[in-house]
Amino acid sequence: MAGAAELSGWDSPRRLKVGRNFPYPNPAFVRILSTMEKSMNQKADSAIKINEKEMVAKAQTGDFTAFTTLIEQYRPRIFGMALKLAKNREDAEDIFQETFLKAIDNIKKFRAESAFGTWLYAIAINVVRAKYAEENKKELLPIEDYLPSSHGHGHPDTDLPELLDWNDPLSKLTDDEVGRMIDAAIHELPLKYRAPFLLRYTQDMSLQEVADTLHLKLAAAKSRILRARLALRAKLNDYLSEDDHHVSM
Amino acid sequence: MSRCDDLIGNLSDYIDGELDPELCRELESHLAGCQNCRLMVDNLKMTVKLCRDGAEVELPQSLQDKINAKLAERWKKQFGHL
Repeated sequence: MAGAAELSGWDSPRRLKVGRNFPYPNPAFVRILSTMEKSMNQKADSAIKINEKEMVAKAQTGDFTAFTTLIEQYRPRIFGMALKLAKNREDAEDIFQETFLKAIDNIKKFRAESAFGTWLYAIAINVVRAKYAEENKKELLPIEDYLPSSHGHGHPDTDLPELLDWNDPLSKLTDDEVGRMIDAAIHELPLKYRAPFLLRYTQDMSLQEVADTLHLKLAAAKSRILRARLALRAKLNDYLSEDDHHVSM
Repeated sequence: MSRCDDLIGNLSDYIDGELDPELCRELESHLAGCQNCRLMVDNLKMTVKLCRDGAEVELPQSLQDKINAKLAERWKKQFGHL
């Protein structure tokens, strides 16, 4: 997960990066350097995991400072996720708070089989699922139905607008208007698609991390993310095809 | 890969740079001859970019203070001390 090396107050080992403009173009030499890079970065990742394990162990024995250090880097991210998953700001604040309270209730049960961040996100998603149990059952269209109707495969009931070059309409909108449009489109996605999409593209998780967090098979996580992406594109295309581009939330 | 519906299942992997190189070449060859699919790919890339751009949020201090008090209270209940 991006940001794992940004743990504030911890000894984050320096990461090695082999630049593309390295002055010695000998391929064998570059291969050796790349191997060194991989090995050092693996060691750096292991060191971060050891630090996290130590902090978890301390928190599990009652060290509140260790717990607050552990959750520090996740606070803004969990809040950002909650804002996009919740129906309104009040719910988002409840979800944010409930996630960390549940983390305290369950910290002794955390067995470090997953990364602490993955565990925390899983708690947050479960809090959202519980809050919006009904919404979790909603579905999206099958993937092939998102093909534009001009291809002749579109679903007859979806009435998707024709494809549009977005650069022109987007350039006429302010950043705030674009932000509102994106938020409205994301909020229209059913929860089971919204959650994996947000984990993947706003929390920079790998597909495997998304699958682990949501207890899904890799193929299912991949499929939900693609369907979310197609549905969002269709929704944005819809907004941007409108003459006045007004989006209300 | 000449049909548009063959392309769609591979779009996410392609856009995220995770598609098998051979499939990637086939897909790009299809894109070169299909303007609708090119627009579809461009729009899908833009969708994620727009969502990522809006992902940064500021956590209000008042909410931080409120939650810190609640966390401390719950910690004391669970562990008997801070």
